[in-house]
Amino acid sequence: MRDLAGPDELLTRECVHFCRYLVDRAPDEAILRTWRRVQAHLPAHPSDRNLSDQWLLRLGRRGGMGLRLADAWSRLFCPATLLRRKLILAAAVLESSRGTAPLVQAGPVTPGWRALPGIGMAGLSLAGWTVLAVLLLGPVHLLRIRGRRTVDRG
Amino acid sequence: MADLLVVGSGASGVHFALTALQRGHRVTMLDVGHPRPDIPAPDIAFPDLPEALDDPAAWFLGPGGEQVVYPGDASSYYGHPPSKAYVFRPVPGTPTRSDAMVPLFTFARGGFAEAWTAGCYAFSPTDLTGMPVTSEDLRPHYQEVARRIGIGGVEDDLAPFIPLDAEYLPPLPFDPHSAHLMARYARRRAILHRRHRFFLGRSRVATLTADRDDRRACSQLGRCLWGCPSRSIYTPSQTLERCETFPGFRYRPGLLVRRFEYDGDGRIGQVVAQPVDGGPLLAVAADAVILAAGALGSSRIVLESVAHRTGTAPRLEGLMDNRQIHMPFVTPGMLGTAPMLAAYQFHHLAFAVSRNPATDHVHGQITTLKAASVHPILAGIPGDLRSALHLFQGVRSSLGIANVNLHDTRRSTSYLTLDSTGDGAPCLVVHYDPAPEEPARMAAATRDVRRALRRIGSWVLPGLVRVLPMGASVHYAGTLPMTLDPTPLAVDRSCRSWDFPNLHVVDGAVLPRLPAKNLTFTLMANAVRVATTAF
Repeated sequence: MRDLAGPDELLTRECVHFCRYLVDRAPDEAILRTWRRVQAHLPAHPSDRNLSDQWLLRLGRRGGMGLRLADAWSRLFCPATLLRRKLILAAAVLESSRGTAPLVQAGPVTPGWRALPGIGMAGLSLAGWTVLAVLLLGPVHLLRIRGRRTVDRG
Repeated sequence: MADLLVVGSGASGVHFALTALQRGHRVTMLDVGHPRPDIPAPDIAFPDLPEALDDPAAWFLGPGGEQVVYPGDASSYYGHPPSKAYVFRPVPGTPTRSDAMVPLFTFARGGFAEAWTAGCYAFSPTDLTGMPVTSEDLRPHYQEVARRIGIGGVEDDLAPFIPLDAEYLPPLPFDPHSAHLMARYARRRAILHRRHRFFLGRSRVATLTADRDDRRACSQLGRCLWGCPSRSIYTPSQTLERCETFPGFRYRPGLLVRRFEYDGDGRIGQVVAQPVDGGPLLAVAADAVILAAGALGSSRIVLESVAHRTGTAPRLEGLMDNRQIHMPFVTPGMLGTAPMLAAYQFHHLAFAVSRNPATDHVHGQITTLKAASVHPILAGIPGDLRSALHLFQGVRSSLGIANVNLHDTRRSTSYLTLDSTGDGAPCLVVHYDPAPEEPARMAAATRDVRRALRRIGSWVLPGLVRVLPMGASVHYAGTLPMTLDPTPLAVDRSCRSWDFPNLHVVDGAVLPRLPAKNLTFTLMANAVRVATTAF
């Protein structure tokens, strides 16, 4: 799953995937500019060089279902992982940017108690993706740890 | 008429200075005084700001995203926006070391209250128990400050805890969520009083509901946290501007006061200040010195002064701060209502939980969620970010937070001192030792507020209650306390130092105990009292 893209291309690609993931919209030029600018200030974390964190980031950068699973897994087991911090940064950029701010700040409003099914669905989705992440990424994670131990033993 | 040298431009300093100027004294104010940046697009409401600003992400998050709140690095549910970064911008030469406390410092023009939420809570007779000043002493000065700054409030169930001795403005109109909570409280008032000892009322806030001079009534732009563009929310820099209209006033920004120098009788001859942009130390002569640099700032000056003359820094014991607990809640009755993004952002409701003894009462505010940076909230929801965003949007209008304050008392084990062993400027050592009974008090307060909120239809979200680190409330006090009898490193009831006859201290350092409420209104009133009675 090694990625041979250059840093700029990687940043653009992750920004596109993260924006689509969060607000179903591709980023415009202004958001892409902001995304590149804010990377320099993304704080470092001891786990950034961790192979597991790098694997989650690579999985997330592919977008789609892999991104959602990696996100759910990260939130549950390692909320400060680089992927998760980048996603929080993406949410911050989107809520502060022209065009996308309303998509983050206020979703559609269903009046009265008719709102409940929508909220229930969102809760179920949250729980469902978390369970799926544990079921699908858990074994992969265990295999990777086991593989690393085997390599360490020589 | 005296020449008075005031150190610091915070809430205490400017109200002392204004009163002294009105009484005909000449005042020089020394201050670092980081200025507030201009506020862009002053007529635009929060939801429309991203469209109106040239680079909205830079304005909301900082040019490099410095103000983004990441998982694991936040003890609060919101960070300070870039527009308020100047309030917390440090200056060189003020090293600090602390344990069990995360002290904040300000060198801003106007001090910490440039970034406050405008809560004005007069101390009750119970709060003043054991203090050398009484409610009668403070009442006329609370009234004067209320006239100056404009405070909204009404007579309600909080009156026994927060006296309404001054003339108050009509309060701000409720947002729907606050109105909902107040209506539920009214229906269950008797049981809440009897069983939960819980009292709810309107916050007393220094936010205008009618135009006054160059300040406009709150127009519900929803930009309170980022800096009120219409100046409806009072800040001390407004009073500083008023001081500057007096010919006898001189404001000297860019100076960090390091120490005062005194003779064998303790009489201060001059104050020594360090220009913050470099250059040699500067000596300023003074008849009388008034320290208003905040409890930590004023204490540092006293410590450096004594250490400079004697070679040894004493300990200033009795450091206090209000422990704060954030309790996010959801109100199911508000589900399905539209979120209020353009609305007064700060709290409309305040509460008290009575205790026995009465000095231990708990006080807090309830803030319903309106305009906000939402990414820190999303980060806290336990699940993938996409689902979290949808869930948040569904419940947004029903979210709120209760900010619970606990009282504090002076203890000899919480103190300030200096460590001069390094090469550079002496290091301020902040040692805080929580009261042994604090965990029990926090647990009881959390339990009581949770139950009371449940009664008014709000559920505290499990797992999301956060005890803020000591220091977060920025209600520092107690290190140079008022005492009735002569005491070293303390002040008399007119806030004159027992050690240095021409030194007065008018900030939080003089409070000998700290009730569970914001102290800013009392500090302003006390500063006016000192200026009126001692000069």
